[in-house]
Amino acid sequence: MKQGDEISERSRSGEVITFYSYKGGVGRSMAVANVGALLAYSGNRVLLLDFDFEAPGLHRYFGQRNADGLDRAGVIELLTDAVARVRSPQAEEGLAQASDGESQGLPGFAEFESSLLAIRGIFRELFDTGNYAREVEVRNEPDGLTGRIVLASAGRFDPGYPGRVRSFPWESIHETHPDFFRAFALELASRYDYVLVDSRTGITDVGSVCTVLLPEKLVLVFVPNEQALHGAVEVGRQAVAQRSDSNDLRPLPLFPVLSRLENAEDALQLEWSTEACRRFELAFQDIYAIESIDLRYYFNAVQLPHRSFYAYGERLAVERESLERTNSLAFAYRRFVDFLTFESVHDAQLALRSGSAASGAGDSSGGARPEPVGPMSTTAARLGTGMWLSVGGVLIVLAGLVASLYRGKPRLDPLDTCLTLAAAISPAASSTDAQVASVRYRNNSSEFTSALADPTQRTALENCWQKSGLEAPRVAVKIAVQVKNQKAPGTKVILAGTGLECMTANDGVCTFSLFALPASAPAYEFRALEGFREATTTVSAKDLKGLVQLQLVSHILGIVVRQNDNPMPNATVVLEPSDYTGTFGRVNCLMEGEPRAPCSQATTDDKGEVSFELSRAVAKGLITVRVGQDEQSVQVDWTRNVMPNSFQVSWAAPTMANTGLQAELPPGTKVYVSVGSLKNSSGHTDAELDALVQPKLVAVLAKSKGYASAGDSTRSVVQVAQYPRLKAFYLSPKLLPIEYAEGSLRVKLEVAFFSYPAKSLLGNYSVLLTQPGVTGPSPADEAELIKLAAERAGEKFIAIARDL
Amino acid sequence: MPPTVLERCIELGFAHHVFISWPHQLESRGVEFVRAFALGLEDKFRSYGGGSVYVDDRIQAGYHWDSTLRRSLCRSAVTVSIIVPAFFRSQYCSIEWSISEQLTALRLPREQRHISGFLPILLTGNMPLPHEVADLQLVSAFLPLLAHSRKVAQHPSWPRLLTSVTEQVFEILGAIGSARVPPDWETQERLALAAQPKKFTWVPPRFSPGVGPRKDGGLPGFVVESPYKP
Repeated sequence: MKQGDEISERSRSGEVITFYSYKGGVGRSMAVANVGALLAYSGNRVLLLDFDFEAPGLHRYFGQRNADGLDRAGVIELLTDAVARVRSPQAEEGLAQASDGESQGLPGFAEFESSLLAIRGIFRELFDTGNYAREVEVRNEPDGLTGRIVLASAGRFDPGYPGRVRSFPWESIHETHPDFFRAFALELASRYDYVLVDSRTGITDVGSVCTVLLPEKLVLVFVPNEQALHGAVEVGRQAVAQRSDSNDLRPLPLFPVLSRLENAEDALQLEWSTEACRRFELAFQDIYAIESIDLRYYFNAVQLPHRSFYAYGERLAVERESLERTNSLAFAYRRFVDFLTFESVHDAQLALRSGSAASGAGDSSGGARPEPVGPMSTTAARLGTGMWLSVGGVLIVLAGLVASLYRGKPRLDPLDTCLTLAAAISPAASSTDAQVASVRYRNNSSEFTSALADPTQRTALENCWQKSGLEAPRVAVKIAVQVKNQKAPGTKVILAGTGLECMTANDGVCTFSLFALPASAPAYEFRALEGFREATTTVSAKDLKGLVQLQLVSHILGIVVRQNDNPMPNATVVLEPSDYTGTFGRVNCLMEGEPRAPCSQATTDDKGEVSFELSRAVAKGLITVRVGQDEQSVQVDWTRNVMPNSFQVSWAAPTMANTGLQAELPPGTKVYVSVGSLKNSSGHTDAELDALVQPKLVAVLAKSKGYASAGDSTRSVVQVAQYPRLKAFYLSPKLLPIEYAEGSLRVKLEVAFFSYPAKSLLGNYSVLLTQPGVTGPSPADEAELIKLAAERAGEKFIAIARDL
Repeated sequence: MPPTVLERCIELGFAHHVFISWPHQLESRGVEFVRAFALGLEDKFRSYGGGSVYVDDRIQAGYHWDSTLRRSLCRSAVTVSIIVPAFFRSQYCSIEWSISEQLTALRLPREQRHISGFLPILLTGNMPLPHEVADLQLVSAFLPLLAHSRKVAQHPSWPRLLTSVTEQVFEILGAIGSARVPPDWETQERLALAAQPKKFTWVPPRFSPGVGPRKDGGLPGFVVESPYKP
């Protein structure tokens, strides 16, 4: 029963990664060789396949070590032999039997599992001969690392090679055996942790095999010019689209790599990196249905610089250079591998930015994946195995970073600095992070100054530090609070514009640990609060300390209670602030001839007036005022300077007596719905439709427990006003033109819903009903369907109203 | 009214709200999707008081799985079909389709016949479809998520899509739950046990949600709109 599962489980042991470039000369083969060596250093089983048959050269990076392999068979011979076996009479017969057993004569289906297994078996036998690949050793002298790579060159470079390449039936083998290349990929992935395919450039059949049929990840290497970038984006886009179209359910995440960047041209480098990032963000949004994706972190971290030394001959940077040298090409490859070992760029960004690289690199989906190998993401793992670094290795990395920061001209902008550090430093090394970050910050202080002056950039920068898990460049800001020159312990101090606050200790001082502002940036602004006393102060980035003297500040709320437009004496008024925060939220009653005293309930005087004194903590929000059974919410605005004993807000209870509109709602009513007239674009008369829709809507709503409904009228408004705790809404239905299509009648009713009686739009929804078997205009069917739509609309609103 | 429809279906005698019909020839990535989808759907139901999603890989070896499957399907309100080419090769999927089709026709009130009891989810973007499937509202929105990474449930759009599917399920459940009397379970179970594989109507496909140009039967072809074509 689970034959397919067995195939797939075996295939999950490794992954095929294709390196593609639209144009040649971008460093694609060099990337394959370097990435392969890096993966091999971590103990992975790595196979490199040269699919660039027209211009083979991957084997050159392994020089003399592979000299004996030059006359050996390679990829083209392997594929040719496999085709011959697949097309042999015995194999054809076996495949045909497999097909007959399962196809049931249905059209258009490849006989997936059986033929896949059969072809895979052929590849297994061929691979087992060991004739098509050679093992080579890679060694990094500076760091003392070694590994072994299996290399399958493009082919045996004898006089017959061009003929074998030309005559290979790329298209016909795919037509006759659609699983041929898939079987090849699955067999390889079952043998190796990583299979890196060096693809041919341009738009070719071989390129399509490499980019769509073989890989589980697609690396798009491009240099900073329009043709390379455009080609990379489009090929990536189409490869993913075609993977989605196919019956191959494997993912195809794209990993773009900007290569051969000339560091001397800072401005151009930034311009192209930004443009490439933008184009791939758009492509990712489109092909992966991600609403918004920010690839800046990835593009900042993954860039392969141009090193003229490697333009001569074929040398592996990861063999010659220490992987700890941050400005080396080897380090850039290492950083790319760190991302490549994640499921996707998106996953890598999330994990690396949040500092959980070590835990994120593995496969949490339960498959048998190899150990995470990213040289940077797996610092902890490497320390554990002793394979890469000694325990002091992290410190060496950090020391190297510090040294390079002091030495070199700052190349990255502040955000980039933060992102790069976040990627480079393991969370395990937190004690040293602050030091490194602070050095980096000082070294880039001018860029930080300009970045922090811009509120958007400042937020991004602060967020970056926060998310990076690093100790951000921070400063301690001390605020001393006094009342009449005496220390004021227990006072709340708030940093304006943020949610940051602290409480003064016994010495009247509280200390903020804040993101460091450069000297020229705007100053910090603090507000101290203690009961009815408050004061503000500003602290410059240079001083980092401030003193505030609290002053008494009164906020007076005056209330007038009226009934039938007459002042209402002896009414009990209760104040219920929405934010009554203990020590800082205080309410005093102000009654004539009596001292101020804490209370929140007072009786109106002869003029129907009562006044309260509020502290800022209470007064800046919504206050509920209750008189008897009635209540009203008052939004208080204390931005103005309020003088004591002046009434700022007048409030009157609803005048409900003698209106003739007594409360009529059934007991237990919680939701009141007012239904407006139908907006009609259907072609029917308004009156006719109103008679269909409004009564149905009202009836459905009225039938529901706790609901009362009616049309929109003065009576409705007064009813709602009498029940302050009622949830009230207004529905505005609209009937769209009635359609007859494909033998069906279609009715669509759109409903906008508002608050009531204020009529502030809260949302909308629609109901679409189709009645099959109605071919022409049928007023009776239309009326029935419209009524049904109205009923559905009522039911749908009841569901929606639960969350309102 | 999600909570009401879930409860209502149980009141009517349904054991499961959703039955996921998938071919066992599905490769493991598809199986992962089915499991993630089932868990996600149950999770969504939980926020409305709980609902049951039946995935037939729960059947233990040794059971009479044919009749168990048929009975479970009979007691399920909505059928979610995982559409890949192998779906139409699977005899059980064809039987499941046949059972669901017949039972839905019996269960839906007359005024609700415009609603289908099926929710087909496409995992392959470009494939021939029989009329019976192509005519339905197909869910192809999960395709980009499959392409994105192995962890389909961690895709940023996964919760949104799951919510959308849940709403569609609720719509069908609402229609089935609007029946005044419970289904005649004895008759329906008899029908489910006797159902034969569905004979799909294979005509030139009318639905092709595939993207991009393609050479039929040949290698995937690319067209790059660029002045720099080689």
